[in-house]
Amino acid sequence: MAESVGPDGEPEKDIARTTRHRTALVLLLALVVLGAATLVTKVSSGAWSSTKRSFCWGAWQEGSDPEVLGDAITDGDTFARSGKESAPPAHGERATCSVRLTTTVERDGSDDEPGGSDPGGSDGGLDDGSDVGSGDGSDDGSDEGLDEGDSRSDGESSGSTEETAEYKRVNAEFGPVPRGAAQRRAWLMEFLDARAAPLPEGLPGVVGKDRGMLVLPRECDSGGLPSVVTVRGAGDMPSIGGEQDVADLLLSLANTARAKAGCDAGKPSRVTVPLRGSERDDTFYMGDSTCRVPGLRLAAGREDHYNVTVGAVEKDLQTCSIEDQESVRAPVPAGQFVMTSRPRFTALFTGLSGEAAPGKGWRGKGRIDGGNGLVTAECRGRPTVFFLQLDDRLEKKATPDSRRVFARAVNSVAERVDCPAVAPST
Amino acid sequence: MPQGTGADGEPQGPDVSTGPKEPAAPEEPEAGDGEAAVPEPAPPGRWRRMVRGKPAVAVVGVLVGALLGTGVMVWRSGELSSTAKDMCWGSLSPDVVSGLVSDGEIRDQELPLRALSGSAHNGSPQCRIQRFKNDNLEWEVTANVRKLSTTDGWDARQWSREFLSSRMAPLRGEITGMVSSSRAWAVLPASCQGMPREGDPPTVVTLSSGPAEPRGEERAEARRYRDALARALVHLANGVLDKYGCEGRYPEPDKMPASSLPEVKDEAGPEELCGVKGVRATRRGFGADRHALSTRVTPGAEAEESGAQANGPGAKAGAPASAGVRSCDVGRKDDELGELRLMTVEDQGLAWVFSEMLRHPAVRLKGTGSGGFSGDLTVYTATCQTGQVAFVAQEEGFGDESAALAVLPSYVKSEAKRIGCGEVDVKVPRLPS
Repeated sequence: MAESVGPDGEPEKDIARTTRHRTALVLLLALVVLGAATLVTKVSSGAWSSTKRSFCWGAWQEGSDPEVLGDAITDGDTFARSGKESAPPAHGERATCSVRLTTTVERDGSDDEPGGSDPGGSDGGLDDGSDVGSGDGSDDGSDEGLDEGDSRSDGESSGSTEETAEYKRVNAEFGPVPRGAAQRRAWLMEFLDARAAPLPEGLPGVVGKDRGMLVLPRECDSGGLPSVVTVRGAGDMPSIGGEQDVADLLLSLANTARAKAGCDAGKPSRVTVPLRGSERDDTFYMGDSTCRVPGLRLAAGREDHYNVTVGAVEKDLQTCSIEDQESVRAPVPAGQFVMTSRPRFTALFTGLSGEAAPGKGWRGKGRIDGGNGLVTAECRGRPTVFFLQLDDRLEKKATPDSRRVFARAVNSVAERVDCPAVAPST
Repeated sequence: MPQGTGADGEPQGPDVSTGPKEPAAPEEPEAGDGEAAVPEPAPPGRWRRMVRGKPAVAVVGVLVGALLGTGVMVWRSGELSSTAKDMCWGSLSPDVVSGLVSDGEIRDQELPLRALSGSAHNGSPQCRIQRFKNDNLEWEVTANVRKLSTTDGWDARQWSREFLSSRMAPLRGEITGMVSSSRAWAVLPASCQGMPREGDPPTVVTLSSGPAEPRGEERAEARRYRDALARALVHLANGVLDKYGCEGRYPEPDKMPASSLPEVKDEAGPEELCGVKGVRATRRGFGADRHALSTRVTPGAEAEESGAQANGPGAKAGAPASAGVRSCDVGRKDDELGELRLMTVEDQGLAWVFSEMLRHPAVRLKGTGSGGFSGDLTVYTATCQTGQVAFVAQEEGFGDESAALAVLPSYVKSEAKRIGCGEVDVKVPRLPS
């Protein structure tokens, strides 16, 4: 190829080569610009924190609300965060995970009792899976060189020791609702608690300050039962945060679980409008119209310490929870009333009763058994569930008897929602 | 460094340049150089040749990139505000405002948004948008954010007079509120009101445009303006949510159907006042011309539809919406229906505003619930499944007999039945004439 020689005697570059060089130069420049822009963007948006871990199969990121995930430093104590998770969610199977905050406290060796560091509280029967704090290796910090329980034996002299105390824990689950009747009722008592308010925009779920529940779409059903995700605070202080925080945890977990279990074909679970907040009503009153439902007559005596919480009272959802607060530290759920015609909510009651009517003169199908009543009847074109459960003690207080109390309550609510009578008049 | 040059003028040596060239002949030092055959260091590689001598370009590239990245971040964070100002705490864009006031000289003033715990009474406007012409005030739109009060009677009387008129139609969707062609209100969600206790009245965002009861409105224009007001209200609510750091935003409202425009109707008969069977306009209280009455009822509440949350997720698309208030204005057409207003307030927060009036009524009302009569205002509350429900009657003035007291027993009885509250009775005393 001919090449010219410039005036200074240096060979001039071939024209074609110059153009190619220039193109390559421009490309290189563009790459540098892009690279720098990306770098600045990422750094200032904080997306480049290599130390942030994630939990629950990647659903929850460290460094966000609520407290259990955020950076909590209180009173000079630093909290350590650790997580556990079972195998990832799979269709038809139960998966569990948890996140907890622990704090290590220096204790003077001499006068403290050897004590368990976990200050009670329910664990909710969590499966022990593998310890996890992915993204940063498995070191969870809290148990380094420490015992969970006693940190010294009797007779050991002096020397301060460190104890691990659990400050906050959130347990989460994915899976079909429990199949057995007793377990299902216990689950309903816990996760359709009146303190949890329904989510907006037609999402079939409820959130409160210490728990949340979302029924997953039909594609996630298995064995005829709906699958759900739940989050629940545990420990001495079971509160997780505000309702918005709980909703965020619940929805991100739901979307992750759906993806892992292979039922995320539809729209992601999402809320854009503000949560309505529970317009709930706490009352100690329990009488002729417990839960403000005429006919739900539970005769409370002077020795009783029941607390009644009325939750949603809508056309298609009504919840009420009764709690025995004899032990203020450990209140015990004692009873619950639910009415619903929301399709994914009615699915939660599948299989609890057979095809027969609950009794003579009843419309619909169901079963009444002691303090437990369930009937599903058609109201304004939709199957509507009426459900009551009372523990043994409350059942005795039903006046005149639990069967008639259930019947009257059902009819009162049916009338409110413009539904023809379901129970025979008693 | 000396380089041999071949016959065509090209430097010889191991060839690493880019172009298709004939491979140069293997280098042989020319005998004439007289140097030892030390292999020369390879000429600089392709990349190095390009970059060499151009560090300035690289530096510029990095700088431009950094600026670009920063710009993206700033833009994303929204701190680059639009050139035209957004009014009322940054919530109403010029586009939204243009639906409320026509072109002209627009001035706006606003007071700082108070903290939710404090509240301004008497609805003193916190944000004003005014249109001037030749220094004359032609039109004014005011916005307000405040917690309704139970301690003075202002909200129960004046605020409700304007904002709970039967001209107001409920908004659809997740937002709770009502709108007409002159007034609009929406409740701030409980999650953004701090910790509302039982019996707490709601915090509302409101818009007022012109007189509360405009005269001689043209229907299509009233409908257009109402949609513009609804849109502004949602933007206002979202702006307030943003200012208070609360999560969630309401979507732009759909256009409201023509069927939800307020309508004055001649009364079907005195046995079915306000479209509810059993509500009786008796001679006592309404006088001889009770057959010539007209009424106007909250749009969408005509049917025998119970008010509670008919616009929740269970509602069908065409189902009537409800903000928890059903209002009925009764009177004579030419008198702006100013004789009597009857309201059924199922929204617990609003019901509380009225029921607090019962603390010291002039006359107590007995029955299944509890209530009181205070001349222009009569309130009777009952506990229904949804909670406290207030049955309210307002009349401007009355002659020997109060229309409110005359109609109250049948109103309370029929309405309680309609909303699924069972049997509710009230005993009304005869007032000394």
